[in-house]
Amino acid sequence: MDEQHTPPPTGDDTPGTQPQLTEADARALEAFFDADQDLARVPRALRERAERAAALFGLLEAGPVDGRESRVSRVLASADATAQPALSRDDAEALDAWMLAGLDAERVPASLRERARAHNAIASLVASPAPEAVSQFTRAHLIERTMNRIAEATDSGQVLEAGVTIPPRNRLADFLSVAAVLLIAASVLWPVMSTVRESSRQAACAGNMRSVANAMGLYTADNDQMLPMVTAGFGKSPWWNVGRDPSSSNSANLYALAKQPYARLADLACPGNPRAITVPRSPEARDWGALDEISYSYRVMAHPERSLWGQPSELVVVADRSPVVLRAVRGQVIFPLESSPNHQGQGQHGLTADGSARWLTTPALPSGDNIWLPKPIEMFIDLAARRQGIEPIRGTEAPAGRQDSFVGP
Amino acid sequence: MDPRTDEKLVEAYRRGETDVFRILVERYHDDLHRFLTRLAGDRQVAEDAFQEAFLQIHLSLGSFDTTRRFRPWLFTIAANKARDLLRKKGRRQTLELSAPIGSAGGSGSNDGGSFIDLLEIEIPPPDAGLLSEEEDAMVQRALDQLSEPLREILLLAYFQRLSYAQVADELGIPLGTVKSRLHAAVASFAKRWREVSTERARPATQE
Repeated sequence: MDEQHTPPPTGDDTPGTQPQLTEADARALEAFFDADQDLARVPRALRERAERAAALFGLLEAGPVDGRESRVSRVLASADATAQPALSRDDAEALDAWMLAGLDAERVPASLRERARAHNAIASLVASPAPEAVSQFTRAHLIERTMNRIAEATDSGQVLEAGVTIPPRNRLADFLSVAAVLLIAASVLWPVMSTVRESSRQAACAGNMRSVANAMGLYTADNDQMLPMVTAGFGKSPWWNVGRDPSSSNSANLYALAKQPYARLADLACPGNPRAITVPRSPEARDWGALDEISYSYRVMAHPERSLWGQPSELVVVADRSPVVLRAVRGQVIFPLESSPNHQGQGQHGLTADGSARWLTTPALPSGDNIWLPKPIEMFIDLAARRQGIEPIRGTEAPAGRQDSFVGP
Repeated sequence: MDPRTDEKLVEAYRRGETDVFRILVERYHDDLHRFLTRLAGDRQVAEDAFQEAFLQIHLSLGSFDTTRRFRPWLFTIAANKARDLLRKKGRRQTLELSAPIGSAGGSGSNDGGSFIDLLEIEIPPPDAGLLSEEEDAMVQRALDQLSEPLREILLLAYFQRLSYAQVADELGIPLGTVKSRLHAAVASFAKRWREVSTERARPATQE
């Protein structure tokens, strides 16, 4: 390591950026090329230097290069922009000793140990872990992609070398491991998203309630304080024959608000009901087409009722649709304390006769009155004791009086 | 953690225990990903090379001699894949010719072909803990300025943790070449490191 380097060229036609070889190195390389890149044929005096230079520039493995121009350009391209720096003699020895000691500076002879520690420090600097640990997600992602690539290669019939037998991969296991990652993400996000969605539904539904209250006020003012009623009582017929017979459907009474029109049909559609309709099926329609389309249950109008609306009262006149009716219609066991399906069973809006809408977390009012059931049935069943299910109602029941909240269907 | 050595896992895989391949991928993820990022200086190339390397390993396991060590084999294959990908991207050996070099043009106090004395260069001690983001970027900048063969030999030596003879064996190049290349690589890196550290020390003096 005793060669003198000529300074880089200045001010000629290759300003500054052109690498420069020492004269001795240039001579040695020239000899190497002249010998058709066969080190054995390089003059002995130049051989060591030629070998080092050729090795440095990756020429030994690269194979012969044709033409002097490309030789020179390759050499120049391989060299750093300035002439190659070299380790001091001591550092070079320490590097060899450190490599020999399995990269353990403490096993290097004492005379070289300090410099070996410097090598160790450089290695730690270069090979240290990333300052920010690779996130678990990124890590899992790359591992999954890698495993998928391998699975694809296996499936596409890329044959393994020399007698390796790989049974068919377990597609289900692969699928499950990806699914697990997605599920974890979904399980974190889902409650948040569904809470956001549900609260926006509740807000829209509360807006509907205000529109209905408005419409009720207008209707009763126009109709001699009578609550909306277009049917002539139900007699012995059920009042949940929605879409089949408007004279035997209590929802036709609520539909009257949209028919006249005091409200839009959209005001009677809760966003929590995926089957709700917002425009009439036809101009002649007098009721919803089916029970599923109904979003709100209305006070069961067994007979005309005057002067209920606009009075100070806790009586619930309109509410989110009744789960009790939905079950009873299907002949299922009912659960009187179940909340409306409109809001995932979390509660329901109730529009009371005083014109105010409120959120009820249970269908049982503070008075004990259950809005899904008429008083006589409530009296027969001990709600607290028999939450596990009771005989369904038959759809022929009516409110037991002006104080009895009972809505449907 | 599977207690089996890499080589035992390879044997198990060849007997048909396919699940163990994932163990190898997981075991080497952090180190190999880091190695490839350092080598390529490009995260996308590093990730592609990572996948290609394991694909190649998967296809070549049949011919792997289990009396040899798995780690150097993996890193050698990965380095080859990274080199191929970089070449495809046309990034081969363009960096060092355009890199700003403090002493280029003869204006610096030391000539280009200087001797490096490691004891005069400030290097964070190995027990200093994790690098800061800035130091990390400085290391990468210094590495990016090395020519490709030098960067490769430096990283392979540090990450594979092999002797000269083993490196020579793995790369299939003469022992003398490994030695001289590594010497040159360490010297180059130390020089670039000194330059990027000095740049950081006086960042506002460039006019």
